[in-house]
Parts: sequence; structure tokens; C-alpha cells
Amino acid sequence: MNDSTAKNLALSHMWVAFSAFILACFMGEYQVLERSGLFDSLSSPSVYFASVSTHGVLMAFVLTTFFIMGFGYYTASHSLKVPVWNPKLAWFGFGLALTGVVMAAIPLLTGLASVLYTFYPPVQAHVAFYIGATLLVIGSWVWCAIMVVMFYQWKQANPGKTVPLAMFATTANAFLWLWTSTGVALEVLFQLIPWALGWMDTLDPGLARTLFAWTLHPIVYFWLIPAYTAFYVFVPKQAGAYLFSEEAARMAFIVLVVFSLPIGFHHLYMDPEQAKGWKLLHGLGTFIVTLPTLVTGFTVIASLEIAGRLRGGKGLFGWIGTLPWGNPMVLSVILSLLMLIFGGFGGIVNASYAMNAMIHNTAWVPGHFHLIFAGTTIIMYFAIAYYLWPVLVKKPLFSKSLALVQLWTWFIGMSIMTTPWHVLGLLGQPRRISSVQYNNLLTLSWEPYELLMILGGLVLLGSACLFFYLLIKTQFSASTEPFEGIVEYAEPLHEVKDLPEYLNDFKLWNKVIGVLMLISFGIPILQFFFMDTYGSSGWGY
Amino acid sequence: MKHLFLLTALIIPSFVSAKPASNMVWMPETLNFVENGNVQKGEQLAQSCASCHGEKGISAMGMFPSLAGQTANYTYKQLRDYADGKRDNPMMNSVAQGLSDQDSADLAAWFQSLPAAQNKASTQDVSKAELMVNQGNGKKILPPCFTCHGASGKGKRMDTPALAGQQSEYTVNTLMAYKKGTRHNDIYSRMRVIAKQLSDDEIKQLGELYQQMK
Repeated sequence: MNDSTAKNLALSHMWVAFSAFILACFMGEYQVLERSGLFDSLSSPSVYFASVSTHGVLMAFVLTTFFIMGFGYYTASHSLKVPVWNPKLAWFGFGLALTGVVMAAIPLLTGLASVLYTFYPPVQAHVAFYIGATLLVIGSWVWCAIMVVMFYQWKQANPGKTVPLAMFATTANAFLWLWTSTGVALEVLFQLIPWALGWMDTLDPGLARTLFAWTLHPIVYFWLIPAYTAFYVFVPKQAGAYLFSEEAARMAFIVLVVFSLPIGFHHLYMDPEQAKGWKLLHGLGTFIVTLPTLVTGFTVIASLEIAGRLRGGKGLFGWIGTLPWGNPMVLSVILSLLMLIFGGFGGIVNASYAMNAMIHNTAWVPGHFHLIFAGTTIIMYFAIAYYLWPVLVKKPLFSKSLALVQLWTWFIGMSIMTTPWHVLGLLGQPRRISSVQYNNLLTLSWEPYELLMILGGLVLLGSACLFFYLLIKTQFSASTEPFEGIVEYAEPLHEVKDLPEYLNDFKLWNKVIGVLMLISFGIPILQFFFMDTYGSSGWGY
Repeated sequence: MKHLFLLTALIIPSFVSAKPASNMVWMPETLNFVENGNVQKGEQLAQSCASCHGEKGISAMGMFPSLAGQTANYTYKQLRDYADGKRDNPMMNSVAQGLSDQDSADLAAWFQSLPAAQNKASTQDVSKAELMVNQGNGKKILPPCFTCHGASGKGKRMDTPALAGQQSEYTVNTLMAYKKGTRHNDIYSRMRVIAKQLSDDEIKQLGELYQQMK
């Protein structure tokens, strides 16, 4: 099969993703330097908030969406052994999303959209920012449509057969994203754009925040699913063994998709616009969604244990040492799981109402999401890139040892940066501040942690540059012999037989999601149309 | 007797009422009303303002403010505050009382449409003012001026004036009036709280800095 279209799509999307990533890394380091207050020449709240907004949008929207689309196109084509359905449409989606990014970047970089990653009305950005973000989302919907069509075309052509796990996970993510992005799409289309264009005088921030909360939590799982996909389909094979249970993997993806959606109100625990009963309901759902992560942790570690024992590991923990630590994919999963343990612990604090009150809006929160997102998730994006790049460009990875150095430094840098960040939160440092100027004993006690964060940021920036360098060198340096390796998926320990249809399809689960969303968001959204609330005029530029 | 005392205690608070600093409330309707002020009508009305505020809204005398480039919302609010007696100035109180809401909006639109004064850089030391504008004062818990007035002193849509190009003497007088409390039409005492903590030297430098700002 000629899969050059899928490869080109994957490479183009991933280059956009990683270009956004490297740019955002430089901004991140500038931000820790600026916030420390140690360098007067860097001090500028206007530049800081423009930078924070751009950093957030580049990392959370551009890097992730483009990476997921690129990885998805290749996974769909390769795992199903069919060409990408309607490549022209795929390229159209790519163009649309890229146009949106450029359109949003202009107001972001000129300081006309310093509304941070969550948009935060009634702070108002230039309308080009909202339209650009919308185009990016619509471009990604094109990808979702192509994934869903390929999934069902394959099922139709192969009745009764099990859809490959990699494609099952990718389609799960496409459905998840369609559901997830609807919240923010409603907010942008019916509130932010008409308001920024002056068609509406006021906007209800309560409704806007409720709609954004719809998106805000499951979007995290949209980013995380490619990492989990690699956990299940690449890692066991790379470690030299089998996937412990494919059924558990499928169930984990389904529970992730179904229960990550109706739980966004744990981001609104301290908000006044939703009643406590709804917060409790969403809070309970938040704890349910930890289950697939625990299942994933168990299954992946079980798969690794099988690999370690097959490689001669003995005793309770002896198998850990015999794992192939020199394999970038295996090293990544170990480091990723380590960060997941600490980040997951922090997440349970955030999700628990009383403890949330303690860390709400403090530096703890960015500390947490950097550990989970930039740590657990992104390190797996690196691993996937190192694994796919040689296949996509038909040249061997430029240097495996440098790749290992890069992964270790990312882990070390992330640990150095996020640990003090959490501590700063516990010491009461608010998040979203550009400087610390109120000189008293409390703020002075923050300084050593700020210094550590600068160091962590520097290590991370160096690691990011090394990653980018390795991709460039792999693709563009002269290679004497073409790379012959192929992408290999892990086989399950026990062959999958008689898989129930609900583990091989999403029809039932979409209905379940529909019902859960209606319960969780129906009245909380409709109340804004029943109650007499006051909107806010725009605060902006 | 006991009941009388209790009754008096209950009644007294009803006679005590705080008056708002300003009667202006920025409802969306008001914002739209000011935004739709008629520039041409404002230009005609402004002819009678020229003797103090200058032909093109740039005053030649430090005691009168330049109005060119001022945000329309701010000018409108000041005119209504003068009319309501919330801001004291015998001359402006009588002028504003003769203006309708529509006249005020038209004047505000006209002055906003004019380019602000462009003044030469001062040779005086403005380092303290630069610090206040850009960083505020952490020890006094004063936010930097730019957070409300903008990085280049152009003001913001919601009730914060443009200061760039304003005459130094006028800015100094205004800050001193806030400091003494003789001017009190700032909602939530925002400027009174800040001005009370500024030294006279800082106020003087701020006047110089904003005069030369473009």
C-alpha cells in the first residue's frame, strides 16, 4: 500500500505542532525569568501576559491538536492498512487549522489577545483571536470526520472483525474531541465572536465559564489519549513483550471518553454561578475518571513486568532493572508514569472540594498541569516522534543516545520546575501574576523557589532545543542507507476472541455520553435562560 | 424611656446615608449612547470651549486641561459629574448644567476624535514617575499607573482618562486635589487612595512624564 499521503500529512501536522512547541518553550523560560523579578530589564506585565497567553495557546491548542491529527492520520492508515480517506479534505482541514493559528497569532503577539488560554470573558480579545481559534477547531473537526469515516468503512469491509486497538483509541479520541469542543464552540460562536464584533453589548461570564468548563476537562484527555495509545500499542512491543489485556485497554479508553465529559465543574468549585449540588455531581464523576488511569497504570506496568521477566528479571522488583532502559519508548513510559503518580496525586487534591479551596488559583495549579501535561503527556509525544520520524522520513534516528539524554533532561527539568511551583502554591503565591513586588516576609520566602524554577526552565529549554535538533538532523542529514524499520503494534498476551460489540464500536457510548451530558449540563446551562442575570460589557483593548 | 432609646437607635441609621461619588453608572446603554455621540455637533458646541481648552482641544494654560484625544467616556462622565455637582468647579458646574446628555456625548465624541498634544521630552528627572507608571510601589501596595491608564497613557474604555500629552500643571493639580480630597468623583475612591500615598515630588514627576508621553 502506498501510504505516502498519510506520511506527508503526519509530517506536515507534526512540524506545525513542534514548531509551535519550540517557540512556546522560549516564551516559557522568559516567563519564569520575568516573574522572578530579578531582572528589571525584562519586567513588563504587558509583554508577560501576551507571552503567557501565546504560550498557553501554542502548547495547549496548536501543539496538541496538530500532533494528534498528524499521529491520527498515520495510525488510521497504517493500522487499518488503507489509504487516508479523502486526502483533499484532510489537506483542506490542515489549511483551515493553520490559517486559524496564523489569524489568532497576530492579535496574540501584538498584545491584543492577552486573555490567557481560557479566554476569560469579560476580558475581551480582538475578534481575530476568536475567529482564528474557531478555524483551528473546525479544521480539527475535519480530522475527526475522516477518522470516524475510516473507522466505519473498515468495519463495513471487515464485518465481525476487531478494529485494531490503535485505531479504536484514535477514533475514541475523535469522538471525544467532537463532544469536548462543542462547549467552547458554543461559547465562541454565540457569545465571544458576536460580542467582540459589537453585535452584543454584554456577555454573561457565568454562562461563558460554564460552557468553557464543558471543554476544559475532557480536553485534557484529548491530549492524553495519544500518550495512552502509545502506552498500550507501542510500549509492550518495544519492551519486548505483550500487552497484558486488550479488553482492559479498550474499556479504559471507553471509560475515559465517557466519564471525562460530564465532570468539568471541578474547575468551577469556587465559582458562584453553579449550585453546590451540580458541583458535587461533577466532583463524583471526576473520581470515576481516575479509574481508567489506574487501569492503565496497572496494565502498562503488568506489560512491562512481563517484558522484564522475559528478559531474565527475578524477584519482586528485579524485572525493573532488566527493562530496556536504552529504548526511548520504554524510558519515556517509565518517566511518564513517574510524573503521572505525582501529578495524579496533585489532581486528586484539585478534585477534592475542601482541598481545592486551599490551592485554588494558586501557583499549585499551573504546577499541577505542567507536570501532567508537559510532563506525562508531552514526554510520550517525544517518544512517538522518535519512533515515527525514522519511518516517516525513511532515515534512522540521528542519535539514540542524544534522544535518551533529551528524555532524561526533560524529566529532570520538569521535576525541578514543577516541585517548587507546587510549593509556591502552598505558600500562597497566586497564579496569573506577572511579578512579585509586595516585599514582605511571605513574598521573600518565595524567592528561592522562583530561582529553582528558572533553573528547571533552563533545563527544559535545553531539552526542547535538543529534541527539535534531533528531528531536523534525522530528517535532513544525509543518510547512506534508507531506514527499513516499520511501526509495530503490541500483541495482546491472550488473543482477543469474541469481543463484545460494545468494546468494538462507539454507537452505544455516544448515546450514554448524550444522556450523561444532558444530566450534567442541561439545567446548569438552561438556568441562564430562565434566570434574570446581568451581563458584563467587554473589558478590553 | 427604654423603648424611646431603642426606637431612636433604630431610627438614627435611616437618616445617615452615604452619597455616591458619582451618579454615573456605566450600563451598556450608556456606553452605546456615548459611543454614538455626534462629532459634527460636538465640534459646533466646542466653539464655546475654545477660549479655555484651545481651538483643537489643546489648552494653552496649565490651569485648564487639554481635552484632545481624551476618551469619550471620561469626558462624558466629567460633564455629567459637573452638572450633578459631584465635581466642584464654579465655571464648569454652570457650563455643564446647560448641556443636555446628548450635548455631553457629542462634545465627548468630538474631543476624542482630536489628536492629543505632542510635547517635547522634558529635561527634568522623571525616574520616580517611570517607576510608578511601570511598576507601581510594592511597599505602599500601589499598582502601576499603566494597568488602568494604559502603557502609553491613552486611557481605557471604562472610565479611565488618557493622560498622555496632558499639561504637567493640570495633572499635578488634579493629583493634589485627589490627595487633599477636594476632588472626590472617583468611584470607590480609587484615585484618592492612590494620590494620598504619593509624595509631592512623585506627583510633580508624574505630571512631567505624562506631559511628554506620546
